[in-house]
Amino acid sequence: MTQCVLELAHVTKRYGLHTAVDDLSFSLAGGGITGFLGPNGAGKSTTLKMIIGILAPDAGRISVFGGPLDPLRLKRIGYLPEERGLYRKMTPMAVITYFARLKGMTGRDARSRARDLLERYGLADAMQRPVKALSKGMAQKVQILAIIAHEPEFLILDEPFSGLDPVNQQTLEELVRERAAGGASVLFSTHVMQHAERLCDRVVMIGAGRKAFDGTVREAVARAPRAARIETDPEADLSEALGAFRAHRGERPGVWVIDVEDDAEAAAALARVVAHGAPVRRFEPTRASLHDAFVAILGQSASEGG
Amino acid sequence: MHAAYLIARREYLAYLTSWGFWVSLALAPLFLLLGMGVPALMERAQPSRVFVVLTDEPALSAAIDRALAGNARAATRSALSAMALGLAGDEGLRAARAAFDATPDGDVDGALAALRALSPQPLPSFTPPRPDFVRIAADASFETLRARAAARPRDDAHALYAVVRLSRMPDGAIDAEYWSRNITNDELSSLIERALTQQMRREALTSGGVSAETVARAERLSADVRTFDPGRPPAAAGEAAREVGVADRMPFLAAFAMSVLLFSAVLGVANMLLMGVIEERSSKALDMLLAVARPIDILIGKFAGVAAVSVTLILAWSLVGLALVTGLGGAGGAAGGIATNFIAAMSHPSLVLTFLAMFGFGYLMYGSAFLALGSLCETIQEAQTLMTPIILLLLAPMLVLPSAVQNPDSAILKALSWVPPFTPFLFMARAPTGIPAGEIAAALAMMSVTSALVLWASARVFRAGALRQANAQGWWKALSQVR
Repeated sequence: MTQCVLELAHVTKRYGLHTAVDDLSFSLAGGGITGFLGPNGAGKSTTLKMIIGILAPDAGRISVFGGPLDPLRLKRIGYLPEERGLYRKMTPMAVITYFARLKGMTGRDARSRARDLLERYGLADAMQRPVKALSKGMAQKVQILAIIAHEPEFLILDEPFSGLDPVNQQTLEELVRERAAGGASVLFSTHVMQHAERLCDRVVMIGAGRKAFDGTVREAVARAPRAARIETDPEADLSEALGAFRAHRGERPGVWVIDVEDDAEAAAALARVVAHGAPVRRFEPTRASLHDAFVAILGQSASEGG
Repeated sequence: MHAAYLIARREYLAYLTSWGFWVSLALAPLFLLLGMGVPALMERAQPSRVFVVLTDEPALSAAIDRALAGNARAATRSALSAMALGLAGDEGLRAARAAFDATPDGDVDGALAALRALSPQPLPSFTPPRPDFVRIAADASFETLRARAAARPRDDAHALYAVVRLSRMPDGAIDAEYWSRNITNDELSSLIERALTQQMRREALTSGGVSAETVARAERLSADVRTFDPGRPPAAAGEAAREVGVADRMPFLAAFAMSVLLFSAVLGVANMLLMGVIEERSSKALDMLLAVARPIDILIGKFAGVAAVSVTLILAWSLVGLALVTGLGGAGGAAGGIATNFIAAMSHPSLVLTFLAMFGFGYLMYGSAFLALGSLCETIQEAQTLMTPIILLLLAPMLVLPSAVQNPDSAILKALSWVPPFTPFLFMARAPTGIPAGEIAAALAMMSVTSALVLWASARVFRAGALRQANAQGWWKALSQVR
């Protein structure tokens, strides 16, 4: 039986009268990339800080690698905080070595690993320059390298793409995939769905501190409303033919959009249009995105929550 | 603790490689040198100030000249005493003074010969100090001289410092007018007042039938008051008690100096902690650190790192100070004599141990408080607002410290030394008074408890500040939010 990397059971965190995380439960089996999604202020960072032990939950239980977080388990984790910065006078080499040593590596191994990472990720020339002389993108890359240098089994990234340019975002995505391919479990928070959709095997969505969804990306997308688009003559009126469906006119004359539950309903709508005798120029069942799922799930969660 | 060690090491190396550290290292001995050298330089650079006396009576001018000669004798005696103390201790001091006092005008050669017999090293050349004031003959009218005294000369050497006009009142009293641009320094006017008062007494005695010889002999009389400490009785019955010497007084001055040093050191290192945390908080490096180390490890690491920096600084300063004082002592002279005795007093184990213990407690109390404050602030401006009450608290003992040299046993000083924020500095100042062992133990216990409490509260505030659950505007939340 595979040991759970992470398990949260009924975790709650309050700040005064405000409940930041409310009875949150989910678990991660080993391996894979999990997106921790939610709008701003949903409680993502608070949850991640509780997992890493920076904050203590007011209620509930968190176990990491099958037990409570202790110094040995903590060393198996790499955590990139949302608010992050570096010692401006230190060099990238010194920063990465320092953080790797804090995670238990020996000085020699940490230095060797830092050199490898800097060379591999295009920072060989900047290795001995002070951080204050680096560009923002380079400094952010150093921050990320600093937390993976000790090759953690569990990587927790809080808004890792924030502030990165598209090229560095791409580099980070590759790095995350590499770590996951190497057997590490990755949990990262974001409110940018494109990254999650490209990277994640699984997503956990939270809104207002509560869990709204926990499943695969496919399952999440399936929760989003689907539609089919039919294009016919601009003069043709399909309102009678599509009366049994939730249909409305599209963005230009001749385009009709039908909200459907599944492919069968889309096919049935097409059959009705054909039977009506209207010429069908284009039929396009549209694919929902994770963004649509996010809006639908968290919109529903918000309305249910009150 | 491995994390705390690594954090301490980084802190230590970060300070050691900063230019500020080397500036501090270099500045302290520089200030020490300036502190020791500037007064001597100023004294050497200051020419004797000239003044004139306008009088029809030569006896009055002669009275003033006698007072000037007495001052010069006292200055020479004092310089010889300091040199004797440095070269041959209290024994040399007594011998040199006795030989000097053997003649009414002071026997410099006799004093040097007496000292040569006792000094283990060759005597340096001795030059009597330059007189502060020199009377010159009046070569113009009062109005002209007054105008000359009022003028602003291009340097002191060309200035007429004062004009003294003397006249005899109908009842025989002497009326003196003292004209000088310098209205704050009353050294010369006091000297003239003493000289003229003595002259009037002399005139009164001679007019009463006392011979001039008897008056002169009476004026030369002086009592020799020897000082003893009742706390230091004779070692054995029948043995004479040892007289209190300069070396006995030196520990009080040394303790005062060490209190000031303690204050500067505690304030300096606490400030280092404050600035370090503010920089880490504003650059968000603290957030990265929190991801790999517990707040308590960070706190301990920073504390230990900066403590190591301060120990390095104190050791370096001590070595440089020792080298300077040894150099001065070897060179002989007045400064060397005082410096040798001063360093001997400062190196006494009781003062050194008190200094180390009080530095430890002061550092724990003020360092942890400053560290906690730093964790609440993003900018120096924010920190300054919160620091003001602590700085005022730190300054309070400095107000009573100067009186500790004269009255180290005063009740107010004793009472204040039991107020924990003041204890490190005032206990240091009281150290040479021979504080009973029970009182020392009680003070150490009190400071241990107080330091532990401040450290505990600071750790809570630091944790809240580091986790951004409290800030400079809502610092009180720090104590309530963190478990």
